[in-house]
Amino acid sequence: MNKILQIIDLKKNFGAITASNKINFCLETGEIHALIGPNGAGKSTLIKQIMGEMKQDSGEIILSGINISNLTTEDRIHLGFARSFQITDVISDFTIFQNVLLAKIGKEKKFYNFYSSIDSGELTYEEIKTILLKIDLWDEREKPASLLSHGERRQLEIGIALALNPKLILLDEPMAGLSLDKIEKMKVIFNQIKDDVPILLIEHNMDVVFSIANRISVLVNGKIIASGTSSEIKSNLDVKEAYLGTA
Amino acid sequence: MISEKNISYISLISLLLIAIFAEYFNEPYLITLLSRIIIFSIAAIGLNLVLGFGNLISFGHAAFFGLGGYISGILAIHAFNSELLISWPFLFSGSNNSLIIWSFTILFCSLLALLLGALCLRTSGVYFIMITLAFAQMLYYFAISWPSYGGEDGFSIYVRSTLFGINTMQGLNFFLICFFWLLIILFTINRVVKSPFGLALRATRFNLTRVKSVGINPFKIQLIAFVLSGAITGIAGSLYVDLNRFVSPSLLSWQMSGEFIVFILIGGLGRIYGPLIGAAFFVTFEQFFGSYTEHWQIFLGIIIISTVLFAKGGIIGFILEYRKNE
Amino acid sequence: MTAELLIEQLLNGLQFGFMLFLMSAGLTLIFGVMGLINLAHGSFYMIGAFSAAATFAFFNSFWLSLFASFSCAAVVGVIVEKTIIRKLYNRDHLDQVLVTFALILFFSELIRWIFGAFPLYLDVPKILNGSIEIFGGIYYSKYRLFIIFVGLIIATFLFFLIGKTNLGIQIRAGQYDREMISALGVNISKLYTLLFGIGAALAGLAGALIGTIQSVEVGMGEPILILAFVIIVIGGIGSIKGALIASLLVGLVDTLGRFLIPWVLQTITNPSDAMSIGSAIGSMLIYILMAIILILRPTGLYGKKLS
Repeated sequence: MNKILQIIDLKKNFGAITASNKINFCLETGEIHALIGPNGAGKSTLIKQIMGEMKQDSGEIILSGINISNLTTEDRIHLGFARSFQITDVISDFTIFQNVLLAKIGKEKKFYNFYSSIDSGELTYEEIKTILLKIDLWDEREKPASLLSHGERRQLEIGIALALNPKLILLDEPMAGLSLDKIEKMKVIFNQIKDDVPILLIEHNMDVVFSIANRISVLVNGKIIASGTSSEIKSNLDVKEAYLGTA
Repeated sequence: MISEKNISYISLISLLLIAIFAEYFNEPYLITLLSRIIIFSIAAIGLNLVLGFGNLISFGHAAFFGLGGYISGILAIHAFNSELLISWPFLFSGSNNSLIIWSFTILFCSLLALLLGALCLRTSGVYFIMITLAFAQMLYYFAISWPSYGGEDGFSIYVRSTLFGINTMQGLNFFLICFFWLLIILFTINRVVKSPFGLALRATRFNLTRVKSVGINPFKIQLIAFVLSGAITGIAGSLYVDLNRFVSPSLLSWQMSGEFIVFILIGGLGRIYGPLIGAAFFVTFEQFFGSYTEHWQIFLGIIIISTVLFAKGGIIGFILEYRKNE
Repeated sequence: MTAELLIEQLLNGLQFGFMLFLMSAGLTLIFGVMGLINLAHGSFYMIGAFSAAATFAFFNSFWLSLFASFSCAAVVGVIVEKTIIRKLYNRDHLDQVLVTFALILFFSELIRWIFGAFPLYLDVPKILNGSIEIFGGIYYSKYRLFIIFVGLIIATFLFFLIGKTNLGIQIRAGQYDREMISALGVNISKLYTLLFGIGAALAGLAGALIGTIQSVEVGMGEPILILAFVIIVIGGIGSIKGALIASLLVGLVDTLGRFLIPWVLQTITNPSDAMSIGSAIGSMLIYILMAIILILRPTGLYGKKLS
């Protein structure tokens, strides 16, 4: 197994509050690694630091051997980060195809190309087709994103993330608000993707986490209190205490 | 079936045909009007790139129109009087060669747009509107209080600039030069809007976070669009001064900026040919109502208000909608 | 240059600043509370000045014409708000810009139609005619002092209104959360009309006060409107305090700049060049000030941070 993302001794304080307390964990190739924890455990602060939207006080973030601790979000994206947002955030006036194309353009730094036509199909058309097939939206590629259902928007989000040709994908509560059959569909999509790109999953739905995550890390009060497979975590006493208040 | 494309072809061909007829029936004033329509639409097409496609409401595009105009006027008047414009690093006393004048216009308007864009794009929304307006006003007051080039009164240039020995004083020839510019610019804009850059620009109008999250820096995209936009509007200013052979601070006035926005709105926001239709309507309206009453702007005001409140798609939107319902 | 001249220019700057405050206070409140960018604010300034001039022509009373200026502007403001502006609150900025731009065309042409193209004049009343000794042998125009005085009273009144009254609480609440004030049972549409009327009245009053020093003509409102925009950008949208400080800053910088820069330049170049270059730079000074403040604080001195 190859370590794609490594977090080493990450620390972040807000005044007297310690939001990240010497966090260590890693994401390896081919896995879905879920990060769980009660509200206020410091998940969003951690993600912001990973994405470079917030500067850590100390510690390091390593992406496939490159120290990215001090890089901007933009640079991290170019190095291989992709994320989907907690709030669905696609460009609603664009079609599905255009949304994915925009990501491709961003990734391949083609945004200073003033002369090629985006309608002509000469631009990475096949790659986008592959992605749209993977997320099961190829037949609806000309539909404006504003007309999509909630679940389809989520799928599109994943597609946009994939278009960035990332080394890893960070999914922030991708199942929020989805119906049961949509959740099943998403699980299938995730399992397909993970062999190409490892997924760091932030999710509240424990059934989902336990059924698809290869490894789970539990964040409580800014500290990773446990890390392991589903069954290891299920039987971990500290985790039970953090979630249920009882051991 | 009338599509947006057909509307644009029809309007371009009618412009050309009317001009040829006007020449045949010896109506030079009509040709001047047509040239004005084209020049105004070029100015608004420039603005439309940032306003219609990037949702950057610049209320200061008269700055580029005026700068283009003043550069052309100053180069021409120095050449006419054989008066030195600069003596260092080399001797230069202006020029009446269109190619040189246009190059200077594009260069300086791009530089101004780069400077203003870098400042104004730090803000957004209503701040952006007010700041672009304020900077254009700054140039306006500068032009008024700078006495070397006529101050408040402006100055006249006596002949139009020359291009490949064509007699530009002849109305139809000058019209054709403007028409040619219009075609070049429409072609360019068409390409740019449909290019990857154009897609990124259109994305910035909806969702900056999303644009950033796919690794695109929206500020750079907007700034480049602003520079291109300023250069195009500058060319229009240069042609306008050549058409009237007169330069005045009114080129830089805020009403000018407002009218450019109105052309875009009347034609149809975010449509490549919208400004052309809008400018044609505006100039025709001005001529028609202006011949009945000098207070035609009252009716213009009412029409703009009604368009905004009740007919958001402008003329092109109206035609397309009407056809769809038939 | 003498000290008297400098003090006179300082007071002129202060007087100009207070007039700018009358314009920008309404503008900043209307934007802050209703989210409306109102280009037609300059039209109320013009309407105020013309109402005053017309009243003066009939009744020959300065005080009556002053009353006419703000009441007419307020009435027109309320009518415009109820018929047109109201439809714009939920529209984007572009629509607001276009409609209020069209309102300028409409009002300017209407006034030109009614009053003709020639400027009108207002006379200073006898009691405010001439100069008064302020201190140490320095004299200053009584009328301009009166304007400063009016500006001070209105500023005090506005701060009291916003800070201490029930209406003020509603206005402040409205700046933060429009839904909240309707949840609190405030009649929003009445509040908006009232606020728009107050803004228009202040602009109208400023029009009459300035019209007396300068002339009353079509198009007088726009230069001062643009200065009011500069002020709002400097002060921060929605902040009355920002508007006051920025108004005085702009008034002083503009007046003193036009006066001092040619004078400074005289020491390095000949007088006629100094005069022309100096006045050109002087006219750009406040915009340069705006650019600097913008670089340091993109949302103005007292503006809310952009999200």
